[in-house]
Order: sequence, then C-alpha cells, then structure tokens
Amino acid sequence: MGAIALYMQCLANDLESKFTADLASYTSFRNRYTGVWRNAAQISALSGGDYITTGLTNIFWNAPGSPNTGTAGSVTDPYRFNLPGQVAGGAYEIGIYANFVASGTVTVGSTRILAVDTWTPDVVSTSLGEIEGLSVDYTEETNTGGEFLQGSVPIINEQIPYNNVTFTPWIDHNNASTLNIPAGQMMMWAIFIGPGDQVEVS
Amino acid sequence: MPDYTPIWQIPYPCVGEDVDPSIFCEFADAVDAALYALDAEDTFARNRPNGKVLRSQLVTPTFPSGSTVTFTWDVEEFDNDGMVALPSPTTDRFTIQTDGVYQFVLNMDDMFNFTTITQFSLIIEQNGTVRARRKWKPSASGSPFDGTQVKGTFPCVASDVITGRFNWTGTGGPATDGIGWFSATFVCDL
Repeated sequence: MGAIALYMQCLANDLESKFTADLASYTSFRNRYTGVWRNAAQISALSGGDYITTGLTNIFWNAPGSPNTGTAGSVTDPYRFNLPGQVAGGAYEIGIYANFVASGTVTVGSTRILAVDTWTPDVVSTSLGEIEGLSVDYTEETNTGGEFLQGSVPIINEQIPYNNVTFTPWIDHNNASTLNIPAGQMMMWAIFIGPGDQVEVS
Repeated sequence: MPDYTPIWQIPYPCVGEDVDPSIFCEFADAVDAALYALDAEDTFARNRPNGKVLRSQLVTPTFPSGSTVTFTWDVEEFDNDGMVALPSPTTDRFTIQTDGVYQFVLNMDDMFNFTTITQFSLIIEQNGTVRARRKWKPSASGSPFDGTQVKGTFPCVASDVITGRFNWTGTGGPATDGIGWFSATFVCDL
C-alpha cells in the first residue's frame, strides 16, 4: 500500500508540473508580448527634428519586467521593451498614431514626417546602438486643422542576446510655427511577433 | 485523507494511510478536468478572437463634405467571437466580447470622382473616442483614393463598440464610396 501511495504522489506531482508547463506554453502563445502608450497631456512646442522622449504613458503592458525602466528625456531609451534574455532577437511591430496641430500660422505646403528609431544595447559597452530609423508617415499641410499621421513598421532585430529593445518616435516638419500633440492624440504600440528562429524570410 | 497538488488539485494518498479505492476515481477526475482546461486553453490560443467585415459593392455615397460618417458593412467574412451582428442588412461596428488588446485595421479602396478635395481621413473609434486616424492629401484636385488604410492597437473590454469612420472636405463627393474591409484581431489578454 505504501508503494502505491508513493507512486501516486510522484505521478500526481509529475502531472502537476507537466500540466503547469503546458498551461504556461499556451498562455505565452496566446499572449504576445505587447506594450501600448498614450499621451495623457499635450506634448508641446515641437520645432522639427524632435525626438519625443517624454509625455507618453504606458497604458498596457504584458511583457516581462517593468514598462517604466526607460529614461524619460533620453533619446535612446525613453520607452523600453523588455524581453527575457536571449529572446529580444526577432520580429516586432511598432505602430504610432499622432495628431499634429500647428500652434500658429500654417505654412502652405509645409511637410510633416513621423518616424520611429529603434535601439538595442551594444554587447560590449552596453550603450544603445541604433537598429533602424524608419519613416512611418508623411504628409503636406495646406490648411489649418490637425494633421493625422499613422502607420506601423516591422522591426527585425537580429542582434541577440540583448534583453530589451527601445524605440523613440521622431517628428520633423518645416512649418513656420511649432506643433503640438493634444492630450490623448498620440498612441504607440509594440508587439513582439516572434523570436528570430521562428521568423524566416525566404 | 488524501493530499492534493497545489495548482491542479490532483489527489493522492499519503504514505502510511489506507488507500481507499475511491482515490483512483478522484485522481482520474482531477486529471480529466486538467486536460479539459488545457484543451480549452489550446483551442483559444489557436483561435484568438478574430473578425473581418467587408463593404462588398460600390454604392451611392451618403458622405457629405465636412461630416464624419460611420462606414457600414454588408458581408461578414469571418467572426469567431460574435463581434459582428450580421446577417442583417448591414452593421457598422465590432462589439467586443472578450477582454483583451486588439488590433484593428480599416482599409478602403475605390474612393473616386471627387471634383475637388482638400483632405480625406480614415478613423478608428472606440466608444466614440478616436484611437487612430490618418489623413491624406490629394496630389491633384479630384484625385481618387485607393488602398488607404489606418491601423490601431489598444486595450478593449467586453461590450466596447469599435467603428470605422470617414471624413473628407471638398466638392463633388466620392461618386462611389468604396469597397473596403475592417478587421479586429485579438493580440493578448488584459
């Protein structure tokens, strides 16, 4: 009887660990690592060639670590996307929406550019090196009113084994007056699509 | 008294106690329940909530210049979570059934025959609040718009209403208001 009891205990514990591992696997597959940010207050006085390094607040986060480990004001590390070690290599989707409103006169034909720069730590110095700078959207303004730019870009980071990727929205324009982004009218998201060994382009 | 594993509550007899035959039944039931739960997780993971609706034919426009109007959709291409209220003549929304972060894509083709146009916008709204908007300017007055798209990714809860909307300014109208599609894709749990 003692042997049966011991056997059932071992079997129960073995099943427990296997079921738990399976559940973690399903949950991980179902929940892609994702972060979403939005500006709670107006982002003001964008003069052109500006990195937007403050003002976006994380409103959703399900990746490992904290969403707030980036450094507000840092060009290379304002919004950090942590992932487990060895996993950061892979494919991401970065998306941005922003409404740019001129604070004064609109220069007819003036341009608006929205882009995102992505960075990852250098393995030797741990400083952040740029991966890619990608234009998200472009338009020319001919009248007053908001300029609504939106787009998303795929990011492939093959530089493993770094455990985070950071990204920085970038705005350029040649309007005579500065631009503002009203409260709640800039959103940014990052979705980890999959690690490098699962992303193949043939 | 049997003991239980901490997470899945699988019972097992403790060493030294009499093994009641009923423990085998309880053990099997607990394993069965765990397998059912895992199967449900597997099914959900492979079938994340997804919906896509189509505007399948060019129709007479009802889009006055300067007004923001909501697109209607006449065909449900797929919907595995009850987000689309079709079949009925048309619907103008996704109604979220499962909490989560979703990605929405609004795509419109064949907007043409404007006389003059200064801007054209596609908008995604959540319960009436703009979550994503993209505006285009024509390269020449009266130019058509084709293959225009806006995308938004944001948290939603059950009963949230997601709509795709349109705004333009100019004269002459679009003489046809486009074939297009609108999709909702579950990204992750809240």
